[in-house]
Amino acid sequence: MEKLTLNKIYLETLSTTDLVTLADGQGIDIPEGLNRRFIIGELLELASDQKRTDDNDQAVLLSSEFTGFSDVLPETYNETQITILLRDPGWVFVYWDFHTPLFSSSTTNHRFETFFLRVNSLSDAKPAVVTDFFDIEVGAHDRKWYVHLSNRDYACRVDLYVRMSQEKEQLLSKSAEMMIPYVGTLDSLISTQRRNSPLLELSGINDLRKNHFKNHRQSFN
Amino acid sequence: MADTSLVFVLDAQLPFIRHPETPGCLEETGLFNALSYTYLPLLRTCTALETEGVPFKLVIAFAPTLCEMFADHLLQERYIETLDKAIDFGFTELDRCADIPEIRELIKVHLDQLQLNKRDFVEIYEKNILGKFDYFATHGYIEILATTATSCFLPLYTDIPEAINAQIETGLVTYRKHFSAVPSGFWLPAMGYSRGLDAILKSYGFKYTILESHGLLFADPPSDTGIFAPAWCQNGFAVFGRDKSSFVDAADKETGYISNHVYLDVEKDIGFDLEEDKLGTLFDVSLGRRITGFRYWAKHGKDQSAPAFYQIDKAHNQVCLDAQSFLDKRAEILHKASEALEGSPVSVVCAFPASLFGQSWYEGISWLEQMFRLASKCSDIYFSLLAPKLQLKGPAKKIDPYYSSWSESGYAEEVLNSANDWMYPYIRKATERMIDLAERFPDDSGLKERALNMAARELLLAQSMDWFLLMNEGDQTEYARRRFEDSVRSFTVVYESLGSNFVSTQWLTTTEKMHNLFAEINYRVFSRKK
Repeated sequence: MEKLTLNKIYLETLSTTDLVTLADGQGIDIPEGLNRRFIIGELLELASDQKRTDDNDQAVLLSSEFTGFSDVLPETYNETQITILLRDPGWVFVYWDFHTPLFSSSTTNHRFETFFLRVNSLSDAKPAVVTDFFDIEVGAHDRKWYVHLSNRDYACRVDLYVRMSQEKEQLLSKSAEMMIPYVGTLDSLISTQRRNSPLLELSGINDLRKNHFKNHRQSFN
Repeated sequence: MADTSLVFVLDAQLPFIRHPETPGCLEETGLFNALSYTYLPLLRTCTALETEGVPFKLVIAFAPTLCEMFADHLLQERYIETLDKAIDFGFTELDRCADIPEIRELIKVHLDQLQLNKRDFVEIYEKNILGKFDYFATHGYIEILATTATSCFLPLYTDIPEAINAQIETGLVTYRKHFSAVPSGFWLPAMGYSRGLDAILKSYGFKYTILESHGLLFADPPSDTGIFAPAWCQNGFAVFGRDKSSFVDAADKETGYISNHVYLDVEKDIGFDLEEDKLGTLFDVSLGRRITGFRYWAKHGKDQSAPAFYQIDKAHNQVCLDAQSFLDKRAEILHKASEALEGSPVSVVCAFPASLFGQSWYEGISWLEQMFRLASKCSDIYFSLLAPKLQLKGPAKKIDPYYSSWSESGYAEEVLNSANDWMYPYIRKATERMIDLAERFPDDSGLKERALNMAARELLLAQSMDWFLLMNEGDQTEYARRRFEDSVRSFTVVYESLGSNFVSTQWLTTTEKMHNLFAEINYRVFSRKK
């Protein structure tokens, strides 16, 4: 297969017929009537995959030559902080950052084992009480994770820890507490046993239920 | 007879795209197509209906970014240039297709529409189409909802209320600049709702918003009236539920009206097919091929081996059938709902992206017009605005609406996934820093104030979910990444400049000229509420 050196500007100038021919030549199956934007997207993805392979081949060489660009966004804000965002009722997105000296001192310590996330389920008491938790080990260079909330509690909080051998685990940062959308009623709505009111059925509850079973069943079990 | 009504809502949204440095750039054509195929035809429809005394009611949420582009002189001039080139090109296209009468007829129709667009835009509206929408609003035909400054997905900022306040306040300032009404309703971008937004909206004097249906049906407790009447939050703020089935009936790519093979294939445009040298007078192909509006083919039917010429009469007949079918279906559902509520007035809210009408679905504006005309002749259903529906008997019990959005996932998956999650650390850090700047420099003026306003503007632009959504589109990621990073970088330049007490006026002036929206912005909208 011919190696691609394609970019968006070039592809945008090609007629749809030329795009289809080019895609065919690259072994991309283009169904009849497919939007040209999708064809361009597919070709760019293929070109990007090939570039990644090439870059990996040259990684050692590049790393010694790289001097950094002033216009790239920073890789770190140099502070130890963890943040959670609710993607849907069953999943949160977690991202974190380290104060560089803390990261270095942790990872170069001969007792260093791992960083990990502690996912806490919280009650609605004030102050909130941790009712359950589980841990997820993350790599030293990981900075983000998608976490499934298996417990349907009131709220959750994710803490960033470091574990050293023969030492007590050390808390590095806590996220804010995040309320989980209430699901008690929803669980019964999802149940196929339940007979809905005519108004809920006219409102489309059956389609919603099917759609949630198809796409979000893990979130509502 | 039961009081059964339809509320038709359009989300008029486009990201702020303006490139003074690149005349004829591909990206600006999104705005020009919106003008040519959605907003100018919509205004013609509204004018015709008003002239003929046909009642019509329409709710529109104009994104402030779109309003600012509509009002921009450079973009207005570029639109007129685009129309002029298209008209000239149309005559050469007539020659090129001299031997194909079916295509010549379609070219003539398109030429008529181009000339009509130019006349309306230049002579009738004097380049200010928002003025005409405001006219329809002040005369009670259209309700214009307020919305955020940029299309920010608010549920992902509920832990930073200053960000939400800044979006709402800047959106309101822009609303007042372009429209004369005092909005009671608020459009949440992508209908993104999570707990607490009702309280923030109420604090700005808004009375209601619209949520995707599961916002009400999965609420705690679920709304007793389903989506057929507004439900009230604990604080008295009203939420309407969107009827998703109306969207599916009209816009589903497989089964919706839009998929009918007699309708125009909007993708099969000569801008994508003709040889480069033949398109040269219309646009610079090296800047990217694009929609020209010269389209001659009907959609590819599933059982069709070859595409057929588009036939206007056939499409028009189908529009009438589809409009009737839509109304009949809604009327049937509304009557059943009214019966279940013992004859109480009921309503359904049908919300669509405005780009569906005229752009994704070429005949969409005509379909909308037919619905108004058909409804005016029928006694059992009528169109309404949202505000009067607050009078509907709502359930006595209050609800906590559920986390929801109108995106396909129903939540935030489209704006938060592996293609775009790298953006959140930057945008949220910049937001925290902006709040910090607003605290540190509460009374600054002159150059420093200009720089702070620039930072606020760039931050609002970077918060727009358009960039996050475009990261999911293979052919758009490069542009989305550049726009997002440019805005974050511009913000960071100001942040760091203020730390060192040096701001480059040259850079500031250049950036202000480039992103000239929200001229009235006040960076203090990011201050913590005391």
